[in-house]
Amino acid sequence: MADKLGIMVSSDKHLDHVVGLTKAAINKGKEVHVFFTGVGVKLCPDPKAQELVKAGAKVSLCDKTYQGLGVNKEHGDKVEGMEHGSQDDNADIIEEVDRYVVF
Amino acid sequence: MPKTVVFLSKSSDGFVQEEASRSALGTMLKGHEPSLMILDVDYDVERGEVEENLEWIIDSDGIVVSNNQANVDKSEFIEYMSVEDMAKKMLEYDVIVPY
Amino acid sequence: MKILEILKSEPDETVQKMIEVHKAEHDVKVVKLYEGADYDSLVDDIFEADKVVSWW
Repeated sequence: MADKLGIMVSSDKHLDHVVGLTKAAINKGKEVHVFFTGVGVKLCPDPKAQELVKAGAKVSLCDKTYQGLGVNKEHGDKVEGMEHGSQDDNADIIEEVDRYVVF
Repeated sequence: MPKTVVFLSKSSDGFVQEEASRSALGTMLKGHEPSLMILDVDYDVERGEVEENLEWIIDSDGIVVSNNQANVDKSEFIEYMSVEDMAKKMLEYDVIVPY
Repeated sequence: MKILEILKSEPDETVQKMIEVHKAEHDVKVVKLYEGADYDSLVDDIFEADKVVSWW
């Protein structure tokens, strides 16, 4: 059975689903890579988003959007446990995973 | 291994539209083959680098299509495709990204 | 082809029409997350499907 799941988070409305799906997938032995982009980066400083890191997901975000939307001004330049990357990360996820979902 | 990726854009928010095209470009720069399907909404091709991104998609053998004739009329890079045909066509791609 | 259609909000006319097109030719399962989520089942559905469409 396929075992790598990619999750792109491009909206700021579904963090509960992202966390719920990620935890369930990891509990079933899947590798999960979450990438935050667009307005989705606003979710990164949310304490609930840290549950993704604690659950064992690899988590990255589009730093250009994070800075561009000014999220850094309120929450700092770096979100703990998350890789500040670029659209390259999303392209790598698309290449590596067996299934890909968007929230 | 490179994959074919279709981005679906249905937001009337220009920022979201631009982000979708930028994300598509990002996949292309890493060797994937992106296409873009614009559903219903008016696409702001004059915003930022949107039109340039659409041109890149076309140049890399992708397609940019919309069921909204107004989009076709304002950009040489957008072709018309019905909702039914887009529904069928999208299943030909390895990855589907509603953005 | 097995297709999983994930709906995060109620589908509008266009999305509904596209899902109907898929249903006409494929084995389609629709999961309405806006009515409640069973994440364990969702993981199984995602990996059992040949294609996943995460509608808005």
